Amino acid sequence: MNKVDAFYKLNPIVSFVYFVSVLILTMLWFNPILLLISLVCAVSYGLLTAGKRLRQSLKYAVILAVFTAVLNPLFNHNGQTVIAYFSNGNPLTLESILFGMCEGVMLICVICWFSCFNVIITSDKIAYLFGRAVPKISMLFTMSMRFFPKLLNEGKSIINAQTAIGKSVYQGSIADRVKNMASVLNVLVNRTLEESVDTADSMYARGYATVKRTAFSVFEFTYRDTVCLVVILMLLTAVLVSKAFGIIDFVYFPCVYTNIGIFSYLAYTMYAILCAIPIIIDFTEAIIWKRR
Amino acid sequence: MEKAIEFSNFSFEYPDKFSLRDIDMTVARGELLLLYGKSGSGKSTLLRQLKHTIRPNGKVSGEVLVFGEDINTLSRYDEASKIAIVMQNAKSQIVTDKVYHELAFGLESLGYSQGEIRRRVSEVAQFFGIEEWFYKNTNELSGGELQILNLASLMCTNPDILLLDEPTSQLDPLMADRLIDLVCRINKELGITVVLAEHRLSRLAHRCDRICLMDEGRVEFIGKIKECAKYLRDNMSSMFLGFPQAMQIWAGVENEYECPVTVGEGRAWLDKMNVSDIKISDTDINTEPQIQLKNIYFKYDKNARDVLKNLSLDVYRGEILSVMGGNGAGKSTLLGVISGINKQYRGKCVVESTVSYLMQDVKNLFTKKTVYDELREISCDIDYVVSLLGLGDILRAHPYDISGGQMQKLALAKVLLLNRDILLLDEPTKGFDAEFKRELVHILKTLSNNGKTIVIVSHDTEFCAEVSQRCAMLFDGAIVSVSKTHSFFRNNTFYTTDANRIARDKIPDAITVDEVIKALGGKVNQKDTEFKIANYTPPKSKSVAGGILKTDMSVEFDNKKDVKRLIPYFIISMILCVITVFVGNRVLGDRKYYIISMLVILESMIPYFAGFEKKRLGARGITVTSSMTVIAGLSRVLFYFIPQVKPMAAVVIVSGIALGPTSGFIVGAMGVFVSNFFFGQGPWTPWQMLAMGGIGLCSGLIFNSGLIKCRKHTISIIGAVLVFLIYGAVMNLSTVLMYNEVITKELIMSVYALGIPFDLIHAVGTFIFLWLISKPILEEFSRIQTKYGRLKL
Repeated sequence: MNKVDAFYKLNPIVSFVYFVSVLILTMLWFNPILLLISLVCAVSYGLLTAGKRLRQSLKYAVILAVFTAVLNPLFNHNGQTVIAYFSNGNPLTLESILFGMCEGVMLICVICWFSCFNVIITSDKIAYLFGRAVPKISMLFTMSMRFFPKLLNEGKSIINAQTAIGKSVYQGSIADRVKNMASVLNVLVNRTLEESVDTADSMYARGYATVKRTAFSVFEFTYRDTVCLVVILMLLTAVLVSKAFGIIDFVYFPCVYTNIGIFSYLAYTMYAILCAIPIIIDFTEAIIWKRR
Repeated sequence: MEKAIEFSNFSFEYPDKFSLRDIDMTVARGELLLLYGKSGSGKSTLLRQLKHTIRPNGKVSGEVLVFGEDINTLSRYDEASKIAIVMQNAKSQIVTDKVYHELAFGLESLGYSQGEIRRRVSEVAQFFGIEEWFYKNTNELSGGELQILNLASLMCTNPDILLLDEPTSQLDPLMADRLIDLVCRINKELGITVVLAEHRLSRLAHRCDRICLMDEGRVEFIGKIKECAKYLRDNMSSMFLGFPQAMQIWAGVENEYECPVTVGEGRAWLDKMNVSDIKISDTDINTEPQIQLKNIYFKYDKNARDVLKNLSLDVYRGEILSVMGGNGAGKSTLLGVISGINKQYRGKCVVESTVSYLMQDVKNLFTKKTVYDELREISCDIDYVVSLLGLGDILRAHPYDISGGQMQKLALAKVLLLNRDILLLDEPTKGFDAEFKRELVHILKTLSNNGKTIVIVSHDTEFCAEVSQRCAMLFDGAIVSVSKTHSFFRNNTFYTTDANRIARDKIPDAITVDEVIKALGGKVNQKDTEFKIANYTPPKSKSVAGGILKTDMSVEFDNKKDVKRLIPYFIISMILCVITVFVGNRVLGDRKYYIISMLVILESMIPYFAGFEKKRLGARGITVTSSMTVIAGLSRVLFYFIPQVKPMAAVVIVSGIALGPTSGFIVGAMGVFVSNFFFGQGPWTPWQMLAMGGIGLCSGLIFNSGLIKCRKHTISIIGAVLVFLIYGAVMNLSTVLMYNEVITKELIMSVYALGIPFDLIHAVGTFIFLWLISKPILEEFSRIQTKYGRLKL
């Protein structure tokens, strides 16, 4: 993970609002131009931050995208431009193929944005965002994030220890393996329940549930964060308004149609700026560093 | 001198046994008091009397004063902030995932403001020198570092009294020293009163102000260390075993000098003594190799560094070989290679016999309800092993209810019952008292005399010197020296026993306490441990197993009020959902299904999250819920080798039964959410959360209603049906709505039809897992509740 990323260092509220707006905008409308802008930004920012992990999830995303792109024309028979007919008499149309492809692209976009989200919004940021509203669930979440890697290691060592006494989950008949899996799980639960009493003792010993908890965080809301948040919200409103006025509508059926004019160019530009905000922030920071 | 702690005429009784008797002692302000005694002598029980929030249940008489105030009148707030306790297990005391959050935990709980927390946390981080960890995840730290973090986190609330309950028992020697250094700094520089319970004193004895000896719940002696040595020698006590070797040697030889404590003092003392240099030569051993390792290379991952590099080692038939080395030198990895769990990528490993391997964490081997069942699981002929290891008295006990030393022996017994020729042991003495070590030496020697080949890896030089015929040193993935035990230690300067350090100028051959004492003409306290075949009656295994599961156990945990509490939220969320669908349909254009369905999903989860938020849950409730959450999430990762058959749903269903409907929902939903942090979040996350949460909720509702008895087959059948209906319905719907824009009836039909076989496999898998795990896990829940009291607290 690229921790020196400038966007990463912003207050979690800003980055969360950013991701929510970008995701909503990507999922809301089905305009191929908007989708392409979103795709370019998502993939390039994803490569900047998630890197290796993005490539893995991209593979998965592309398969899904192809699947939906193929599936859509099979069930969707709207559209003017008929290419061929299926055996049951339904038409295969150019519009539905384009539509299916856009669906695929949107899926890739969403998955890419989520990979960026996974890198930027770490668990402590989630706890910071929701800690005040739902303290108990946020506590549970923080603890689960603590236990997950710990129990993962313990689970692996249980599997090893059981293998060492001849109860392997990797070899033997399926019935034996499933049985051994169940006993691994059983040991894991037993151990964890015992240890969770310890953990609870440690919490009580440190005063858990004596008075109303406060929530400590290392995140501060700076002037920079305010500026970024305002810019994001302004761009979001602008794009939403232009949608409300029908400037960036895109119609597939019965035939492909969209508005093109000065306002739509403006709307697309604003959308592009919104999507590219993390990249812009990163690059300005890099330039500032060089010019220092 | 002000008294920080005062016990007067204090006794404590567990429901079934006496634990503390007639304790009268005081600890002065600013003192470092060492509490010494073998395991089970009541050290922990005594320490916990000072923290009444976590005090074990039992009958108390007499009184405990803290700075003149009765402990029972101390408010919870003052107790939490003024008396800090570090417990044995470093890992399980850590609550949060980030170091800075862990430091702040106590302050958050006590309601400090953001600014105050920031100031204190940074102060403490600097005092402990842990600034560079500040933003790390807690799971990136080693056990020793975690224990330091625990200590640091406790110091944030600025306590007056620091209690430590065997804090170093799970740590390697270097980390243990670092922790002890910190404790001494806290005591000397900040003037905080410290009470430290330990059973290994070699690094500690000279640094404490006073020592308190405990035996069978009584205070035997309390005073300065040198007085203590005299007291013990005059009483011929076996308690000397855990003391520094200089003191043990002093006690074994008649002399009128003052007792030496450190190695340096020991050498000075030895100079005054008459020494007859004796030659101790190693006994000859059979040199027929049974394990041959040649030029082994091993690494855990393609891109990782080599853990073993060009390692060659022969192990001879019937010998006990100890492999020593620092942390990360590759000791455990080496055993893994010999046992075949780790496969080397270069080099040859020839093992001419069958191998059994006892790993460090012995609890991982226990799957049954009694010690007897554990042993019978491996073999029917358990008499020899039971008597060799002295397990006769505990055959009826649950493996988790016996002491640590007994657990180690039970695990060893299980491994021995496999009846293999070679025995591999990983840190067999870690965390155990000197008595246990002595016993283990005898056990291993007996086994070796009976022809077993034993390979031990350990940090414990004293133990290795006593038990092994040959020793080897592992450094940086290779064996740098291997020779017979005496010549091995004689040639080492740093890596040797304290006894050898003390005596090396005059008696270079002597490496154990007994050998030095012999050379000085003293009497060795020989403890003859002959193994008698102790009589025992095999328990009837059926007497332990219950027929019907206790269904009422969950009542305490999640009562009917919780369900009622859900209703208003449920109504609100329904209204929200309807509005969303209605408004969404009107306002949004072509892209409606995707966003509307997402919103509806999120809204429909509100009541359960809100219900959980309102639920009365103590620390135990929340820890248990989050543990089950993680186990549910983990079961998706851990068993990746059989596709489609994942035990997650089974775990969620069992949690729903044990913890109640709202917690069941949380286990399912948060299990997905948390594990997706490791898999990657996506648009599918809310769908999976709803599906899994729904399964947990329904199982909780069904089995907590009292209409259906929690029997293995009913749980399995209903569980499978729930999985098929809820998970199938929700996830297939998600396929329809997520991946398709224009929804037609035929599309829905075909997606559902395609989904049926997968859902069926999932349901059958869940059935099988529930059949196998539901009963043991639910029994475990009720055992924990009877052992520790209500989980709700």
